Amino acid sequence: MKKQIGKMLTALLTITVMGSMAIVPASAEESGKVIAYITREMGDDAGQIIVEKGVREGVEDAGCTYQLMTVNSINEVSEQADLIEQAIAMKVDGIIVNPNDGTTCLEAIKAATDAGIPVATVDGSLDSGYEDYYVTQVANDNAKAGKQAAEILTTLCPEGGKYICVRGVNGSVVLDTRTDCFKEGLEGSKWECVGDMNNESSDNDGAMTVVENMLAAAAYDVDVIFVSADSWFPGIAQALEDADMTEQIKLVGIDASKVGLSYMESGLCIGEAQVNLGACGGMAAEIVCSIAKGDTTAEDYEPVTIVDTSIVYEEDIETAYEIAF
Amino acid sequence: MKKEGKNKAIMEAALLLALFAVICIFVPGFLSKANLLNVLRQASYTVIPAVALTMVIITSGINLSLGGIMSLAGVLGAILINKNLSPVVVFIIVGVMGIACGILNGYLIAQMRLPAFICTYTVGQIAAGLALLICNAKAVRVSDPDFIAFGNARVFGVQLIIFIAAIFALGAWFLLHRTPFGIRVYALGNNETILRQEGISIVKLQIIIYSLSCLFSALCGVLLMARLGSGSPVQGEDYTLTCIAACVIGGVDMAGGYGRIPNTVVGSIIICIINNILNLLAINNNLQQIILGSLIIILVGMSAFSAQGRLKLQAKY
Repeated sequence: MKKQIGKMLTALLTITVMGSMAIVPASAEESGKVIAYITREMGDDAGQIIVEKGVREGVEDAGCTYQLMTVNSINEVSEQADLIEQAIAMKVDGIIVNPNDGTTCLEAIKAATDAGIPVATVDGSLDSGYEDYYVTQVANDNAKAGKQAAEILTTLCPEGGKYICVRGVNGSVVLDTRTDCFKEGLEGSKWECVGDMNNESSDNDGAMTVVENMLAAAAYDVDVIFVSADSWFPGIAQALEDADMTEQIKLVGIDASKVGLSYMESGLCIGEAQVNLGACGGMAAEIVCSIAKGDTTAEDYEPVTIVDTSIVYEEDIETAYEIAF
Repeated sequence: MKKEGKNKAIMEAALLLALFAVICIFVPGFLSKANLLNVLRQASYTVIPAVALTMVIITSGINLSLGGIMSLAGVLGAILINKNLSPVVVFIIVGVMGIACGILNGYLIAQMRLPAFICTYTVGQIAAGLALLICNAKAVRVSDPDFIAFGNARVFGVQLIIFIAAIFALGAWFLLHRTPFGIRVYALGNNETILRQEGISIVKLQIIIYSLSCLFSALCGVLLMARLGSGSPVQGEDYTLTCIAACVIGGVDMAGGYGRIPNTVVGSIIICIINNILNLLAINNNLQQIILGSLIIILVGMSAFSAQGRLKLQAKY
């Protein structure tokens, strides 16, 4: 009996390995230049999905072969460095990285550049001072987005009030930048910050919990909640509904995704700073493919390529839907 | 018994070699020197903590604090390097931190008789929290280029970390398989009554074993930090489960009493090979997780089957 089980296990192992080899990658057409996009698993993160779509379409439009390489989560920082090094070993012609951490992947990115592979980053940012390690960083102007969110408050509610910040997951440079710049934009105004915390976890549950805690700590004397990414609007809205405070407290956020815009339509959100993630992905792909094909060189690009953000008020919702993710 | 066991080992080795040959033929780019060295390099950061974890599991214990300690070691090491301390001193300080965590683990488990799962998980959480606290949740970039160069150095074209991991593995092998300490480790996992009868302190032994495990993890955390050029407060997050999987695939019995260092090393390499193949084939990440999980179950099943066969042989003879 045990011999049979052993044979079965051996057969299963062989079949699994052979079967995995038979699976054809999504973009396997031979078109000369291979561009790897290294990011984290997108799951149901609409923002990451639209960035990936932008990169993929950009690479394919440029006539190159697209290779997606992902780690499981934003916390897999050394694993992401491993993937970059694997891409180098595979001798890809270009690398686009959405860095989980702007510090830990620097050495791997430098190794790729030293190996003659052009590297651009998209969405996430790298530490400053290492501009010779890569071609360019393509990103939305997260600092401007934060300030634009502050401008929404000072424009719509110049009389001031109290606000809390849902900062986002711990360790995210993008979300920290947005929140810090939002708070900077309100310095000198009549708006007072009465709470500023990271989410308990990256899902809506975590956002809901942190808002419940902050509202309780502020004795529910809050007028606005700033949210660094509007994917958490549903959880926060639920917290406000549970506390029966949807009339008293409004939301201001960043991204202006379809989720966020729906809350603007319902009136819970008074305005958002909109990012264009798809354009970021497409721009990064265009730059890396161009260098890989020899049409341009790394020196032709600035260290940072900014894709502009814009303010969305209630009257702008329809237009905003056109580029929302 | 020896002959039957030997035949079994030869068959298993032949099977693995056959699979390896198939992989080499059908997976594009796997056999390239750069890729193979990459696999070995990636495996090195699993080998170092896993070989010490092997000893813990042999004693019927578990150490879930590996990842947290690796993260804390990375952050602490980066901060100390940036204060211009000598790398040797940094390794010593971080090593002492690791040993302190191990002593805490060992004391709680052996003296206080608390469950190893809970104790080590909690110590790991504390270490991870400390890592986030001391660097304010932001990775600490290493300012010493020589230290980064050390972390990425090559000897005769082969990454230095591979040699370092080999030294750790050899040291663990010697300790476990060639010293009285190793005999006591196995005894603790099989029948601790023997140790009591010989007047050996189980508490001291447990503390030493957990201290070794946490020491190896801490030193690995610094080596990982050197390679990344920065100490990240989350750099060790996934290593705990990866190291456990490496031990289990290497045939270490989770119930205690059996395990071999060379097999754990092979288990570490197998995990990295599987990840490598799935990435080379550009398989969708969601599918990767299913395939990886399935393969690990099958490999663990084969190990368990092999363990049962071994016990059967022992009973037969």
